[in-house]
Amino acid sequence: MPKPLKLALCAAVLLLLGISAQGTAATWRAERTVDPPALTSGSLGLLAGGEARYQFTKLAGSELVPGSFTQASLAIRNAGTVDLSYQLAGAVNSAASPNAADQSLAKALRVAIYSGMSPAACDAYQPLTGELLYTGPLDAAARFEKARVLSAEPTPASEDLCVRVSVPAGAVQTAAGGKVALTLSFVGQQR
Amino acid sequence: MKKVTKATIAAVAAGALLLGGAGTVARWQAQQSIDAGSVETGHLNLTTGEPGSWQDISNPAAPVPFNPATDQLVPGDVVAFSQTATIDAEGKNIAGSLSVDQLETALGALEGYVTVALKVDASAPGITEEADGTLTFAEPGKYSVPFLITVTFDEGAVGDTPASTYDQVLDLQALTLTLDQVRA
Repeated sequence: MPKPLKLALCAAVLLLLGISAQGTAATWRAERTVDPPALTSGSLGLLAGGEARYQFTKLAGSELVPGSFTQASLAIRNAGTVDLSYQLAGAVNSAASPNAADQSLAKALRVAIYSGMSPAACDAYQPLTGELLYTGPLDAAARFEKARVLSAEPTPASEDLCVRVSVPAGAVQTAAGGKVALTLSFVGQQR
Repeated sequence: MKKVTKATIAAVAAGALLLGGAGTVARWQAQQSIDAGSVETGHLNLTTGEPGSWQDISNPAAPVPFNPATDQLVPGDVVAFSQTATIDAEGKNIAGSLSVDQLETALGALEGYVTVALKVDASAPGITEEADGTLTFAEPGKYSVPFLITVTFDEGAVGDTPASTYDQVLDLQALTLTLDQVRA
Protein backbone atom coordinates (compact mmCIF):
# COMPACT_ATOMS: atom_id res chain seq x y z
CA MET A 1 0.00 0.00 0.00
CA PRO A 2 1.44 3.39 -0.90
CA LYS A 3 2.64 5.47 2.08
CA PRO A 4 0.33 8.50 1.47
CA LEU A 5 -2.64 6.17 1.41
CA LYS A 6 -1.56 4.60 4.72
CA LEU A 7 -1.21 8.05 6.29
CA ALA A 8 -4.59 9.10 5.02
CA LEU A 9 -6.18 5.98 6.46
CA CYS A 10 -4.48 6.55 9.84
CA ALA A 11 -5.69 10.16 9.89
CA ALA A 12 -9.22 9.11 9.07
CA VAL A 13 -9.18 6.53 11.87
CA LEU A 14 -7.84 9.07 14.37
CA LEU A 15 -10.50 11.58 13.32
CA LEU A 16 -13.22 9.00 13.81
CA LEU A 17 -11.81 8.13 17.22
CA GLY A 18 -11.71 11.79 18.13
CA ILE A 19 -15.28 12.38 17.10
CA SER A 20 -16.34 9.28 18.96
CA ALA A 21 -14.46 10.31 22.12
CA GLN A 22 -16.00 13.79 22.00
CA GLY A 23 -19.43 12.29 21.84
CA THR A 24 -18.99 9.98 24.79
CA ALA A 25 -17.50 12.68 27.10
CA ALA A 26 -20.32 15.18 26.65
CA THR A 27 -22.20 16.44 29.68
CA TRP A 28 -24.76 19.19 29.75
CA ARG A 29 -23.82 22.82 29.88
CA ALA A 30 -26.00 25.91 30.11
CA GLU A 31 -24.69 29.44 29.70
CA ARG A 32 -26.10 32.90 30.24
CA THR A 33 -24.58 36.29 29.68
CA VAL A 34 -25.59 39.30 31.70
CA ASP A 35 -24.50 42.67 30.41
CA PRO A 36 -25.31 45.50 32.82
CA PRO A 37 -25.99 48.88 31.23
CA ALA A 38 -23.08 51.31 31.16
CA LEU A 39 -22.67 53.94 33.83
CA THR A 40 -21.64 57.53 33.34
CA SER A 41 -19.90 59.82 35.75
CA GLY A 42 -21.28 63.27 36.29
CA SER A 43 -19.48 66.59 36.30
CA LEU A 44 -19.03 69.60 38.49
CA GLY A 45 -18.96 73.00 36.88
CA LEU A 46 -19.18 76.52 38.24
CA LEU A 47 -19.30 79.47 35.89
CA ALA A 48 -19.09 83.14 36.79
CA GLY A 49 -20.45 85.41 34.11
CA GLY A 50 -20.94 82.33 31.94
CA GLU A 51 -17.24 81.52 31.79
CA ALA A 52 -14.62 79.73 33.82
CA ARG A 53 -12.36 82.82 33.66
CA TYR A 54 -14.61 85.79 33.23
CA GLN A 55 -13.32 89.27 32.49
CA PHE A 56 -15.63 91.28 34.72
CA THR A 57 -15.26 94.46 32.70
CA LYS A 58 -18.66 95.79 33.77
CA LEU A 59 -17.18 96.45 37.19
CA ALA A 60 -14.35 98.57 35.88
CA GLY A 61 -14.41 102.06 37.30
CA SER A 62 -12.19 104.99 36.53
CA GLU A 63 -11.60 108.27 38.29
CA LEU A 64 -13.09 106.96 41.48
CA VAL A 65 -12.80 109.43 44.30
CA PRO A 66 -13.27 108.91 48.02
CA GLY A 67 -16.92 108.20 48.70
CA SER A 68 -17.64 106.84 45.22
CA PHE A 69 -18.13 103.33 44.01
CA THR A 70 -18.65 101.08 41.02
CA GLN A 71 -20.95 98.14 40.96
CA ALA A 72 -22.13 95.48 38.52
CA SER A 73 -24.11 92.29 38.48
CA LEU A 74 -22.42 88.93 38.21
CA ALA A 75 -24.25 85.69 37.37
CA ILE A 76 -22.98 82.54 39.05
CA ARG A 77 -24.21 79.31 37.48
CA ASN A 78 -24.03 75.61 38.15
CA ALA A 79 -22.74 74.18 34.88
CA GLY A 80 -22.42 70.58 36.01
CA THR A 81 -24.69 67.65 36.64
CA VAL A 82 -24.37 67.56 40.39
CA ASP A 83 -25.59 69.89 43.12
CA LEU A 84 -22.87 72.12 44.43
CA SER A 85 -22.18 74.72 47.03
CA TYR A 86 -19.95 77.60 46.16
CA GLN A 87 -18.01 80.01 48.20
CA LEU A 88 -16.01 83.17 47.69
CA ALA A 89 -12.36 82.18 47.75
CA GLY A 90 -10.61 85.52 47.93
CA ALA A 91 -10.85 89.06 46.62
CA VAL A 92 -7.36 90.23 45.78
CA ASN A 93 -5.39 92.73 43.77
CA SER A 94 -3.79 90.71 41.00
CA ALA A 95 -1.79 93.57 39.46
CA ALA A 96 1.65 92.27 38.51
CA SER A 97 3.80 94.99 40.04
CA PRO A 98 1.75 97.46 42.02
CA ASN A 99 3.37 100.75 42.97
CA ALA A 100 2.88 102.53 46.28
CA ALA A 101 -0.33 104.27 45.16
CA ASP A 102 -1.74 100.98 43.85
CA GLN A 103 -1.00 99.29 47.14
CA SER A 104 -2.56 102.12 49.14
CA LEU A 105 -5.68 101.99 47.00
CA ALA A 106 -5.90 98.21 47.33
CA LYS A 107 -5.77 98.58 51.10
CA ALA A 108 -8.40 101.28 51.06
CA LEU A 109 -10.94 99.63 48.77
CA ARG A 110 -14.02 97.95 50.18
CA VAL A 111 -15.91 95.16 48.48
CA ALA A 112 -19.54 94.34 49.09
CA ILE A 113 -21.34 91.40 47.54
CA TYR A 114 -25.09 90.94 47.73
CA SER A 115 -27.46 88.32 46.41
CA GLY A 116 -31.14 88.73 45.64
CA MET A 117 -30.88 92.03 43.83
CA SER A 118 -32.04 92.27 40.25
CA PRO A 119 -29.17 92.61 37.73
CA ALA A 120 -30.85 95.61 36.17
CA ALA A 121 -31.05 97.46 39.48
CA CYS A 122 -27.49 96.52 40.29
CA ASP A 123 -26.16 97.66 36.94
CA ALA A 124 -28.14 100.89 37.37
CA TYR A 125 -26.22 101.65 40.55
CA GLN A 126 -29.31 101.31 42.69
CA PRO A 127 -28.77 101.02 46.44
CA LEU A 128 -27.75 97.55 47.50
CA THR A 129 -30.57 95.31 48.68
CA GLY A 130 -31.01 91.63 49.35
CA GLU A 131 -28.74 89.40 51.37
CA LEU A 132 -25.30 90.63 52.26
CA LEU A 133 -22.78 87.88 51.51
CA TYR A 134 -19.53 89.70 52.05
CA THR A 135 -18.33 93.10 52.96
CA GLY A 136 -14.79 93.99 53.76
CA PRO A 137 -11.38 94.79 52.34
CA LEU A 138 -9.49 93.01 49.58
CA ASP A 139 -8.34 89.84 51.22
CA ALA A 140 -7.15 86.46 50.01
CA ALA A 141 -9.15 84.96 52.88
CA ALA A 142 -12.38 86.74 52.00
CA ARG A 143 -15.29 84.32 52.35
CA PHE A 144 -19.06 84.37 52.44
CA GLU A 145 -20.42 83.72 55.87
CA LYS A 146 -22.15 80.66 54.48
CA ALA A 147 -21.62 78.72 51.25
CA ARG A 148 -24.28 79.19 48.61
CA VAL A 149 -26.12 76.21 47.13
CA LEU A 150 -26.81 75.79 43.45
CA SER A 151 -28.69 72.63 42.55
CA ALA A 152 -28.34 70.77 39.28
CA GLU A 153 -31.85 69.36 39.01
CA PRO A 154 -34.32 69.81 37.47
CA THR A 155 -32.40 72.54 35.67
CA PRO A 156 -28.99 73.88 36.66
CA ALA A 157 -29.49 76.72 39.09
CA SER A 158 -27.89 80.15 38.94
CA GLU A 159 -28.02 83.32 40.97
CA ASP A 160 -27.19 86.92 40.38
CA LEU A 161 -24.83 88.71 42.66
CA CYS A 162 -24.29 92.41 42.90
CA VAL A 163 -20.69 93.39 43.46
CA ARG A 164 -19.79 96.83 44.66
CA VAL A 165 -16.28 98.20 45.00
CA SER A 166 -16.04 101.47 46.85
CA VAL A 167 -13.41 103.96 47.87
CA PRO A 168 -14.21 104.97 51.44
CA ALA A 169 -14.71 108.61 52.16
CA GLY A 170 -11.72 108.57 54.44
CA ALA A 171 -9.31 106.96 52.00
CA VAL A 172 -5.70 108.00 52.44
CA GLN A 173 -4.20 110.56 50.12
CA THR A 174 -1.50 108.11 49.03
CA ALA A 175 -4.17 106.06 47.29
CA ALA A 176 -4.72 108.83 44.78
CA GLY A 177 -3.82 107.75 41.25
CA GLY A 178 -3.68 104.13 42.27
CA LYS A 179 -4.89 101.25 40.16
CA VAL A 180 -6.19 97.88 41.25
CA ALA A 181 -6.81 94.73 39.21
CA LEU A 182 -9.47 93.08 41.32
CA THR A 183 -9.77 89.31 41.08
CA LEU A 184 -12.70 87.60 42.72
CA SER A 185 -12.35 83.83 43.05
CA PHE A 186 -15.15 81.41 43.67
CA VAL A 187 -14.87 77.72 44.38
CA GLY A 188 -17.57 75.11 43.93
CA GLN A 189 -17.80 71.96 45.93
CA GLN A 190 -19.92 68.89 45.24
CA ARG A 191 -22.64 68.50 47.82
CA MET B 1 -50.97 -37.09 -24.44
CA LYS B 2 -50.21 -33.75 -25.81
CA LYS B 3 -47.14 -31.93 -24.68
CA VAL B 4 -49.17 -28.98 -23.36
CA THR B 5 -51.37 -31.21 -21.28
CA LYS B 6 -48.32 -32.91 -19.78
CA ALA B 7 -46.85 -29.59 -18.81
CA THR B 8 -50.09 -28.42 -17.19
CA ILE B 9 -50.34 -31.62 -15.09
CA ALA B 10 -46.73 -31.20 -13.99
CA ALA B 11 -47.32 -27.56 -12.92
CA VAL B 12 -50.42 -28.43 -10.91
CA ALA B 13 -48.55 -31.24 -9.18
CA ALA B 14 -45.67 -28.94 -8.28
CA GLY B 15 -48.08 -26.33 -6.85
CA ALA B 16 -49.81 -28.96 -4.75
CA LEU B 17 -46.47 -30.16 -3.42
CA LEU B 18 -45.50 -26.62 -2.48
CA LEU B 19 -48.76 -26.01 -0.65
CA GLY B 20 -48.39 -29.27 1.18
CA GLY B 21 -44.82 -28.41 2.15
CA ALA B 22 -45.89 -25.07 3.58
CA GLY B 23 -48.29 -26.78 5.83
CA THR B 24 -45.75 -29.18 7.17
CA VAL B 25 -43.26 -26.43 8.51
CA ALA B 26 -45.87 -24.67 10.75
CA ARG B 27 -45.11 -24.58 14.59
CA TRP B 28 -46.82 -22.93 17.54
CA GLN B 29 -46.18 -19.31 18.14
CA ALA B 30 -47.39 -16.96 20.88
CA GLN B 31 -46.82 -13.19 21.13
CA GLN B 32 -47.01 -10.91 24.18
CA SER B 33 -46.41 -7.13 24.29
CA ILE B 34 -44.74 -5.70 27.35
CA ASP B 35 -45.18 -1.99 28.05
CA ALA B 36 -41.95 -0.82 29.68
CA GLY B 37 -43.14 2.77 29.95
CA SER B 38 -41.42 5.77 28.45
CA VAL B 39 -38.01 7.04 29.42
CA GLU B 40 -37.43 10.75 29.59
CA THR B 41 -34.26 12.74 29.92
CA GLY B 42 -33.90 15.34 32.62
CA HIS B 43 -32.71 18.87 32.02
CA LEU B 44 -30.26 21.45 33.22
CA ASN B 45 -31.46 24.99 32.71
CA LEU B 46 -29.99 28.32 33.71
CA THR B 47 -32.15 31.42 33.56
CA THR B 48 -31.80 34.96 34.81
CA GLY B 49 -35.46 35.82 35.05
CA GLU B 50 -36.22 39.47 35.60
CA PRO B 51 -33.79 42.03 34.18
CA GLY B 52 -31.25 43.22 36.69
CA SER B 53 -31.58 46.59 38.33
CA TRP B 54 -29.29 49.28 39.65
CA GLN B 55 -29.59 50.77 43.08
CA ASP B 56 -27.83 53.64 44.73
CA ILE B 57 -26.57 52.16 47.99
CA SER B 58 -24.42 55.10 49.01
CA ASN B 59 -26.54 55.07 52.14
CA PRO B 60 -26.76 51.31 52.77
CA ALA B 61 -29.62 51.82 55.21
CA ALA B 62 -31.77 53.56 52.60
CA PRO B 63 -31.08 52.32 49.07
CA VAL B 64 -32.77 54.19 46.25
CA PRO B 65 -33.19 53.31 42.56
CA PHE B 66 -30.42 54.39 40.21
CA ASN B 67 -31.22 54.83 36.53
CA PRO B 68 -28.02 54.67 34.48
CA ALA B 69 -29.80 56.36 31.56
CA THR B 70 -30.40 59.54 33.50
CA ASP B 71 -28.33 59.37 36.69
CA GLN B 72 -24.59 59.95 36.85
CA LEU B 73 -21.97 58.78 39.26
CA VAL B 74 -20.18 61.29 41.43
CA PRO B 75 -17.45 60.86 44.03
CA GLY B 76 -18.79 59.14 47.12
CA ASP B 77 -21.39 57.12 45.23
CA VAL B 78 -21.80 53.39 45.63
CA VAL B 79 -24.18 51.73 43.19
CA ALA B 80 -25.00 48.08 42.81
CA PHE B 81 -26.42 45.97 40.01
CA SER B 82 -28.30 42.94 41.22
CA GLN B 83 -29.80 40.01 39.42
CA THR B 84 -30.69 36.45 40.27
CA ALA B 85 -29.73 33.36 38.30
CA THR B 86 -31.97 30.33 38.64
CA ILE B 87 -30.74 26.79 38.19
CA ASP B 88 -33.34 24.22 37.25
CA ALA B 89 -31.84 20.73 37.40
CA GLU B 90 -33.83 17.58 36.87
CA GLY B 91 -32.51 14.05 36.54
CA LYS B 92 -31.85 11.19 38.89
CA ASN B 93 -28.12 11.69 39.10
CA ILE B 94 -27.95 15.34 38.20
CA ALA B 95 -25.36 17.48 39.88
CA GLY B 96 -23.71 20.61 38.64
CA SER B 97 -21.30 23.41 39.04
CA LEU B 98 -21.98 27.11 38.39
CA SER B 99 -19.16 29.50 37.67
CA VAL B 100 -19.58 33.25 37.35
CA ASP B 101 -16.85 35.10 35.50
CA GLN B 102 -16.41 38.73 34.64
CA LEU B 103 -13.57 40.18 32.68
CA GLU B 104 -11.83 43.08 34.29
CA THR B 105 -13.57 46.31 33.34
CA ALA B 106 -11.38 48.94 31.72
CA LEU B 107 -11.76 51.99 33.97
CA GLY B 108 -9.95 54.49 31.76
CA ALA B 109 -9.83 57.94 33.35
CA LEU B 110 -11.65 56.58 36.40
CA GLU B 111 -8.74 54.26 37.21
CA GLY B 112 -7.72 54.80 40.80
CA TYR B 113 -11.02 56.43 41.69
CA VAL B 114 -13.55 53.72 40.90
CA THR B 115 -13.58 50.07 41.89
CA VAL B 116 -15.78 47.29 40.57
CA ALA B 117 -16.53 44.19 42.62
CA LEU B 118 -18.55 41.06 41.92
CA LYS B 119 -20.20 39.12 44.70
CA VAL B 120 -22.17 35.91 44.31
CA ASP B 121 -24.49 34.88 47.10
CA ALA B 122 -23.95 31.20 47.76
CA SER B 123 -26.21 31.01 50.77
CA ALA B 124 -29.15 29.33 49.02
CA PRO B 125 -30.02 25.94 50.54
CA GLY B 126 -28.32 23.10 48.68
CA ILE B 127 -25.62 25.32 47.21
CA THR B 128 -22.04 24.91 48.27
CA GLU B 129 -19.30 27.38 47.48
CA GLU B 130 -16.09 25.63 46.51
CA ALA B 131 -12.59 26.87 47.14
CA ASP B 132 -12.20 27.91 43.50
CA GLY B 133 -15.30 30.08 43.70
CA THR B 134 -17.62 27.79 41.79
CA LEU B 135 -20.99 26.92 43.26
CA THR B 136 -22.06 23.31 43.29
CA PHE B 137 -25.23 21.38 43.96
CA ALA B 138 -25.59 17.65 44.36
CA GLU B 139 -29.28 17.00 43.90
CA PRO B 140 -32.04 17.83 41.47
CA GLY B 141 -33.98 20.95 42.26
CA LYS B 142 -34.34 24.65 41.65
CA TYR B 143 -31.71 26.95 43.09
CA SER B 144 -31.62 30.72 43.15
CA VAL B 145 -28.24 32.40 43.06
CA PRO B 146 -28.29 36.18 43.45
CA PHE B 147 -25.25 38.09 42.29
CA LEU B 148 -24.25 41.69 42.82
CA ILE B 149 -21.90 43.99 40.95
CA THR B 150 -20.86 46.91 43.09
CA VAL B 151 -19.33 50.08 41.67
CA THR B 152 -17.71 52.42 44.17
CA PHE B 153 -16.60 55.94 43.30
CA ASP B 154 -14.26 56.87 46.13
CA GLU B 155 -15.17 60.09 47.89
CA GLY B 156 -11.59 61.24 48.35
CA ALA B 157 -10.67 64.47 50.05
CA VAL B 158 -12.01 67.92 49.18
CA GLY B 159 -10.80 68.92 45.72
CA ASP B 160 -9.01 65.59 45.38
CA THR B 161 -10.88 64.16 42.40
CA PRO B 162 -9.74 65.73 39.13
CA ALA B 163 -11.94 67.06 36.37
CA SER B 164 -10.62 64.27 34.13
CA THR B 165 -13.13 62.00 35.87
CA TYR B 166 -16.07 64.07 34.59
CA ASP B 167 -18.48 62.62 32.04
CA GLN B 168 -16.74 59.27 31.75
CA VAL B 169 -18.56 56.20 30.51
CA LEU B 170 -18.01 53.07 32.53
CA ASP B 171 -19.00 50.10 30.41
CA LEU B 172 -19.00 47.11 32.69
CA GLN B 173 -17.91 43.86 31.15
CA ALA B 174 -20.59 41.25 30.72
CA LEU B 175 -20.95 38.51 33.27
CA THR B 176 -20.73 34.98 31.96
CA LEU B 177 -22.62 32.39 33.94
CA THR B 178 -21.69 28.83 33.08
CA LEU B 179 -23.56 25.87 34.48
CA ASP B 180 -21.91 22.50 33.93
CA GLN B 181 -23.28 19.11 34.74
CA VAL B 182 -20.82 17.09 36.80
CA ARG B 183 -20.59 13.38 37.52
CA ALA B 184 -19.37 12.18 40.85
